[in-house]
Amino acid sequence: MFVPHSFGLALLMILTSAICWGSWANTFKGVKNYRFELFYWDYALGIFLIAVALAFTMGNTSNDASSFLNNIRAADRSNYIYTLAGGAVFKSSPCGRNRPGRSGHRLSGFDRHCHGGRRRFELFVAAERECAVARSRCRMRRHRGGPRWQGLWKPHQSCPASFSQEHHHLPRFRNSDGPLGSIYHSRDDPRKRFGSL
Amino acid sequence: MNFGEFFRGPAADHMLGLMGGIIWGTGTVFNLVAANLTGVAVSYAIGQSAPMVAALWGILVWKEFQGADRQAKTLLALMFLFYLLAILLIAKANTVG
Repeated sequence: MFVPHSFGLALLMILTSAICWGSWANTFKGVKNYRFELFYWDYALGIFLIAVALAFTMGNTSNDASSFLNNIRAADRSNYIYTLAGGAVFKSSPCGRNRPGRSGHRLSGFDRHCHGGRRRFELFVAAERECAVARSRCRMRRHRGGPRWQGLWKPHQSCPASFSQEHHHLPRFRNSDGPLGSIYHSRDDPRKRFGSL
Repeated sequence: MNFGEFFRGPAADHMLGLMGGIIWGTGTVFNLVAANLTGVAVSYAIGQSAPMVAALWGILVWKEFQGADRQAKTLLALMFLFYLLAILLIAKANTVG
């Protein structure tokens, strides 16, 4: 296999990796009308393809014990187990929570330290919205429509969601009306709009 | 969500996904191969400056800080400074090669 022989070259490769990691955020910006979860299947496929390609090029520069196939043959079961476990742990680290929500936020910004790891954890719409509101005031404003309503949640103005998606997190609260319930009621009649609290 | 949508997705979007994965995979392989010389501590630590690259994308390409105030810009500049210092220090800490 190929191994860099000078620190300069190694450093260059490391900096290249820093540039490459987080590519999903930039490539996903070009995607229209296609869900992130499905995009990520393509992404994983891309990782697999390039891994195979590099294994037979960079990993196969010499015909000795370190070449890819010889190395695979020499590996014992614990090597495989550690490798698979490492991949599973790496790819399920929790920074996936910052992934773009279905309501179309696209963050290219600062969750890039989880290079590539947008994992399988599904966040439901309500939780996503909660995070979005908590994260940024300007996003909250966009969500909530007109400036007159900035301080109040106006469910029918933001993206539509089904009753169960909207309410699945409520059982956590002691009182399902919550402390803010009375405020909502004065603005939104819950019988007319299922989205309101 | 239905996985069947995957097969109805536009070809251009599939290509973008593949491209993203290929870029990421290249970076990861480069990082791990370089670790053979420098050790994982150095290679992975410097690789963690990926958020700085993401910030560059956000600032230069996606213009996410347009109209930001002076304080935000100062903090951004400090962020870049500290990232670069960190890369420098970690690179200096390397004793091999």
